[in-house]
Amino acid sequence: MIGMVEKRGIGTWLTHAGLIFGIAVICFPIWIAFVASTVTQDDLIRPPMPLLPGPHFVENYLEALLTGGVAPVWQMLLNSLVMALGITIGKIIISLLSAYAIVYFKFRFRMLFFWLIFMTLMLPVEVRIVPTYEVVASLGLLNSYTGLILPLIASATATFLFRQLFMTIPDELTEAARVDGAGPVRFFIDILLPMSRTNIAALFVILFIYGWNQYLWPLLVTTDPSMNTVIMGIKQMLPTGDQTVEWPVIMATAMLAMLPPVLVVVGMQKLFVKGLVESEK
Amino acid sequence: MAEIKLEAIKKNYGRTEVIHGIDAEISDGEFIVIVGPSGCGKSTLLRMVAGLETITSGDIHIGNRVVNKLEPRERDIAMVFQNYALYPHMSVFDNMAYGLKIANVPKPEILSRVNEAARMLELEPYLDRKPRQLSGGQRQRVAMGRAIVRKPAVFLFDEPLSNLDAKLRVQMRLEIKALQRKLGVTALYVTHDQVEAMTLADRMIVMNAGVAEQVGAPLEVYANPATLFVAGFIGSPPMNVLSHDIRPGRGALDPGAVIGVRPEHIDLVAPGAGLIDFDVAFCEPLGAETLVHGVTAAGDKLVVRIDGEVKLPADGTRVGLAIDPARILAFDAAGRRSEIGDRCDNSGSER
Repeated sequence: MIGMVEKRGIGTWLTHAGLIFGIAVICFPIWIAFVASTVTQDDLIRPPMPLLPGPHFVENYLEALLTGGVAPVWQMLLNSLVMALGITIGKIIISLLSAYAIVYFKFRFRMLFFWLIFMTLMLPVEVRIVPTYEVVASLGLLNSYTGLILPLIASATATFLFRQLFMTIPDELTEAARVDGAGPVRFFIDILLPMSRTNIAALFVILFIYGWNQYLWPLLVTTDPSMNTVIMGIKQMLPTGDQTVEWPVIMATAMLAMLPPVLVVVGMQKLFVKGLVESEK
Repeated sequence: MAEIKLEAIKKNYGRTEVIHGIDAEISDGEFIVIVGPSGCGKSTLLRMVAGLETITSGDIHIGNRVVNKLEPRERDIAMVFQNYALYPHMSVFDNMAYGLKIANVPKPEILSRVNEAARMLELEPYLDRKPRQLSGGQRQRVAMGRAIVRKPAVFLFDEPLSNLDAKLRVQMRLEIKALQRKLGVTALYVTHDQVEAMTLADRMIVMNAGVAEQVGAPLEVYANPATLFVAGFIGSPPMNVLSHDIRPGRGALDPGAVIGVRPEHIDLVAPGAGLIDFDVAFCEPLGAETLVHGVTAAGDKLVVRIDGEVKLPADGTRVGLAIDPARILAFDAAGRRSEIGDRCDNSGSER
């Protein structure tokens, strides 16, 4: 790659200026939100809008965490974390197992099952939300972690991804494991799982963000404020009617809600990139 | 260590029969090479012995057991695959130790067995490396090591050298042979390379289109091919096939029948002095030997192998071919040997 693009002088500066400008445009709203979370409500609503952080950072964040809106933010963060992790881990386990079954076992109607799984791709939560709600409600799962996680846990996308991955693993490797005496379970744990770890890491990032950002489903199944997730919590903190509202606290909540996905992306990226580099021959 | 007995082995894929009944008896410690062109069913046969393919009919005995229904791990075999099939995420040590770990062999014994195999294969400096950090030859050795540590009754090799370059192939060929001699384990080795087959085998099974054409010691098969296919497949350049009988005092051949003669059994002499005259088309000097290509007076194409130091005949010249009539083999229209009684040294043919 070195030497492929070689620009000197003004070209480099222009490129960098363009990139910096683009980043600034994208980051500006987040910066404004951060600034808004560090000032008082009075400072915020008095024009001009402040562009530099104020001195009330600790105060606002503590208020958000401990008091929040309908429920304290720490509790909503915890709920979101449980839900996102539950969905992520559950999806990965289920799709690994179903892909394993579809690729490595010959059973009747195997392709039918594969296509059934594949077809559920066409039915996102929003489409099946009414019947799903009915089922969850009649099972008494409203206001529970199970109710939050279970309906979102099956994943055709992840199953498909692992299926494609397993199909690229050479048959000879499977046969070598058979000759070595590895049964189906051992083969799965000792060979397939370690060989899938880069894909698992990538999926973890994607699914965690998917789970964390769920809005509609938690809004429906949690009526008890103590079960609210942070994404829907922000919405519920917004003013309705002529209520007065503490924008700095809402902004602090928004900043807190953004933090875990960022941490996951940054943290997993290393592992994920390392895995990609390692599997290179 | 064990004998292997194949009894009327057949294999069908759906309605297509790909292996049409193979019988063979392999004694303890023997090195058997199954050789044949691609698609002849040789790998399928090996995989049936390994237990990776089901057997449609017939019996496979390993030792004194019929193993038809047994899983590969229960057959007491070890297999070396063409692409080595090393576990990419495990170190060399773990690759070799995996089978033993599954078999619940105690840790100290795993350690000593793997170290012994590593010493034998000169892999000791690489035990902590991953397969991708090794060269092709080293990976090949790891695959061998994985087979050795299990101390199986039978080694199965599925074209293990075909991914190596020519020089390494020769070296690994010698190592495999030496190792098998040293360990005394019965080995079944599949290859499409007749040189590998000739050099490695105690006995070889020449397969074609799902049938064992001939079973025998390499030199015996070379000297005395049972069929036209074997005559053409074993030996490079292949045996010359002539559709006109050139032996003195013989009439025309039956329709479809042919005679064969090895290129090295022909000498160039003055025109008219040999059995038949021959027009030289071109020569291929290979150093130690020279291949002379041309057409006989009767119209058959023919290759003669002569010593590399003999002066080359010019292209287009006419020379005579001197052939010992006893070296000429006759084949009937179905490709089988005919007139076998004509030769005194034909008794070894197993077909």
